[in-house]
Amino acid sequence: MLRLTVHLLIIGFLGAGPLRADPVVKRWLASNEGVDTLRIEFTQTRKLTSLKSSIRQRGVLWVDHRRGGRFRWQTGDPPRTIVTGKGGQLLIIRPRSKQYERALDGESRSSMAILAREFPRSWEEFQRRYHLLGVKSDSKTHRINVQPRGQPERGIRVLTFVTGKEKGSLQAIEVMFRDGSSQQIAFDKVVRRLPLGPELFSPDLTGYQATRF
Amino acid sequence: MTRVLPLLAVLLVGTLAVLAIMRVRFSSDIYELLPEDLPEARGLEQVNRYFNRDAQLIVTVRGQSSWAVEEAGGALAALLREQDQLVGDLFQELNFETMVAEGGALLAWAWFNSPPDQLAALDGKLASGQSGEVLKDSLERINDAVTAEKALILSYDPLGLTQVGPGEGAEGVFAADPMRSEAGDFEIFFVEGRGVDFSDYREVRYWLDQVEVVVTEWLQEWNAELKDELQVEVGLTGTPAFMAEIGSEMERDMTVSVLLTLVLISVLFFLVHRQLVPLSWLLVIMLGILAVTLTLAELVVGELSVMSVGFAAILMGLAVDYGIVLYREALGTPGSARQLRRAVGPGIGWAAVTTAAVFLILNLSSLPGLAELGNLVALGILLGAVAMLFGFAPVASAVVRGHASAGSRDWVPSSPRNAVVAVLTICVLLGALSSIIFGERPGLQPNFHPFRMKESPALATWKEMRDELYGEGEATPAVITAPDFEQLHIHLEAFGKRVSGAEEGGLLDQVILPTSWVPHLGHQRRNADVVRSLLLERMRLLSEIDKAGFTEEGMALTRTVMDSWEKCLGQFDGENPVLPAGSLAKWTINRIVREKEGKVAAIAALRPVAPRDRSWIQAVCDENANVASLSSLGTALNERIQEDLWRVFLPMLLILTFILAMVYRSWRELVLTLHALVFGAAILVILTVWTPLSWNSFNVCGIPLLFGTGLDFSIHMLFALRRSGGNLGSVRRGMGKAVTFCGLSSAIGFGSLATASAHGLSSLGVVCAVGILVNTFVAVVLLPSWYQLLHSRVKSETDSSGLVD
Repeated sequence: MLRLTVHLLIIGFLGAGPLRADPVVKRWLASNEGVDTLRIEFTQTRKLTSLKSSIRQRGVLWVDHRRGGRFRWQTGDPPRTIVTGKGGQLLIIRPRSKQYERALDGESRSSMAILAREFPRSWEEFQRRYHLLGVKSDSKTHRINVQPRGQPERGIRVLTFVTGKEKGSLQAIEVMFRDGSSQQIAFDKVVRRLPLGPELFSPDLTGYQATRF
Repeated sequence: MTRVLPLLAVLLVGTLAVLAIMRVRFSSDIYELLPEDLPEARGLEQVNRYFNRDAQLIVTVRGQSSWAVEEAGGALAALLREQDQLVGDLFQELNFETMVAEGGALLAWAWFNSPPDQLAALDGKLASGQSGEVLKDSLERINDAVTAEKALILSYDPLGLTQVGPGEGAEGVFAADPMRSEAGDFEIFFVEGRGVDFSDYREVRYWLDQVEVVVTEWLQEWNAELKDELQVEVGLTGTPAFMAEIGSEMERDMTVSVLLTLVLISVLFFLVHRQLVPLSWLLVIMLGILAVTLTLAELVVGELSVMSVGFAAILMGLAVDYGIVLYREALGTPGSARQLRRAVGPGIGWAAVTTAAVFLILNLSSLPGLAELGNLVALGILLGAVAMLFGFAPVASAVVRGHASAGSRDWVPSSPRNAVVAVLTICVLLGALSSIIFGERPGLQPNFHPFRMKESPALATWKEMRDELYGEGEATPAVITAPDFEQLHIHLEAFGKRVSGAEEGGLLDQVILPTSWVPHLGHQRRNADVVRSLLLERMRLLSEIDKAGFTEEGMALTRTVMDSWEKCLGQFDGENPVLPAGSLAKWTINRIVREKEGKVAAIAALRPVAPRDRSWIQAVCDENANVASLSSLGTALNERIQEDLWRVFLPMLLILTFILAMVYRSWRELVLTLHALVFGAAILVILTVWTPLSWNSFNVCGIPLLFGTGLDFSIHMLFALRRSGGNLGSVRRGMGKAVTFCGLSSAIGFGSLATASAHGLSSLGVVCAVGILVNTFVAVVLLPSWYQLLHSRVKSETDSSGLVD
């Protein structure tokens, strides 16, 4: 029971705040409406307790919610890792080593998958996917703290959606792990409703070798 | 006094019978019921013997979200760990803390035991000047990891020490045995019990009751304090839960079936004879037979199996027949006990011998449980015949003398007219034939179902666990055994070649061999020097890890591996392989490799393309390698039982036909008896095709029993007809009543097993009860008419329904 008490205290802390949670979440959900295609430039920061310094990478995510949904996730410049997903299949490519891996997407649990999948559009859908722990606010952002209802990444404690106070749209995703490690994906630039060609989601694998990373 | 004495005797002998039941030890091991020569049965038995721990309880936790389950599972596990008197140890899904703190010992041993070229490659990579590349590569992999979870795992392993074993990734070592469902809303943990003898189901029941109290109280408190979405459900399964359930169910089965049989037979006797004193003495004798047979059974057999618990009810149902025959004879021809024995003793003796022989023939069956059931009934029948002849005959004689008018109503139906019988005979035979041609042909259900318990919370939880953790992708375990580890490697190599062949031949989809987890003295000898040299580099490597940017937490796993290598070298004497140290390492290895009872066993995982098909079994199994496949076991049992049926049935048919020919010395009566058997079988065929009555690999063994009772009833009726010169009325009122009573009492004995917990035993009871009722109808109602038809010259006396005794 002690463990739960500690957990509830943390959640209580995360959830503490003068705001009611529902309007903040609903405002964010409303901002997703009508968005079929997205291009997000982001900075991924991993702070791991096992590493002295944090790891920072820049990347781009293209999402096309039309035609069953597809995405392309790319980190590094030039790209170090490219992940494309469509039709329940994941393709992971390492351009530097000229290797790739095909895997089933399934119900992928990572932050990348959360971003690439279509965001919930209604309060009911949000509640089906997440257990809302609470909302914290500062001068520019709201921090919506949730627990995914499905299997989260192993060791995950809290998932946070950071939304802008002004427009209510998503600005970052953060995950906090039980060992104190964390990962933040902060959006540097978001372009909505842009044309996306099919070749973006079907990279040319000529000269690449299949492997298991 | 004449009424009090038998009641006191019933109480006294009844108490003895209850004490005998309480003394009986039950075996909850259902694998003992299976043919030992089937690789599937051997595999299941070996998985149970080597890898299922008697004291290991599985606790399941289900909730609405992974978070609710994780919190509840953690709290319950912590509470159970505190129960020192009940819980010796507890194993949960590995978290990072446990993985780092305790997983190092397992990794160290895995490297120490790995193929020397694999360790040499690691030594090369970690050599001075090379290790920097490894660290650089680690950082890049952490950087490039697609998921944060993967990055987190990699960050605890800067030297890539988790990359041990054939083709396994960073999680390979720990991912073999999932404890949490994909959705995260279901998880299990293992509780190692302590404080009682876990081979005794009564003690296990006591232990489990205490655990259930702790769990139930915790669950009520937990769920009461939290919102609905955080509430959880808890289940218990695993060997202790099964043992406690099966043992208790077996006690219940025996008690309920015996009580039900005694009560129903008593009611039947009273309805027919309206006499309490003979009924009381009959009960005394039956309970005495039960007490003596149970005591003998315990001395001879030791533990009763889940199937042989049914013997008591069957025995009661059959043994009472001899008492009824004696009582009917005493009513018909009052005299002394000696006269009574002289009149019906030979008949009872022969009937007991032939019935016992029929049950003993079950020893030819491949099912050891059925053979045990047959032996116990045979023993009880012979004892019962002696007890009735020398115990009940004097009572019957005395009681009847004192109540000369004791009689009963005419309740046995008369035989229909010959024309009706002829039409009925032709219709039933044609009906059976057309049922076979046009209906669904009677066949055996191809599954393991008959050997399982009907209602079992532990089994339901087990199924839920398998569905949640493995789903459709569950692999079939294969057990490879040998006298020692060296020999085990040889057997594993041979097994590996066979499964490769089967894989290439399209019989198997996937194979996981346990080779790298089996202690290998040769590998360890060659690896010892390499490990020594790696330990000499310890300070340099740790310093490089530090410089590369890893924290103390990031170095913890490497330190644990190095410490454990030192321990391995300290233990290694060059003559015996080192086994893993540390509770996590031991627990993990013991789930893959076990040393027990002077043998060693390793478990492999196979995924057959067509699990029910036995060709993959034949391709991969030999005397050292067996497969615990329930799917193909159903097929194998059906094949075996069909073979058995002919092996048991044909010799029995031939022997009994010969005996009948010698006894009757008349072809007409021989033909009539065989015709009665065929007719009874025809009715059963019709019932099987058009009603829910069905055959399985267990109840099909009731066919010889039905054959035996059909034979007995026919013999009694034909002898009576012969003695009376074909007087149907007198036979109906005399032997007809006795056979009807016998049929009903035997059907009650078997029918009481319908309540048994084991599917097989229950279905055996139902099929035999129905079959015996059919045999009774044929022998009492139809056989006299057939006799009349065939013996045209026999003086016929019309059996008008108006006649009474």
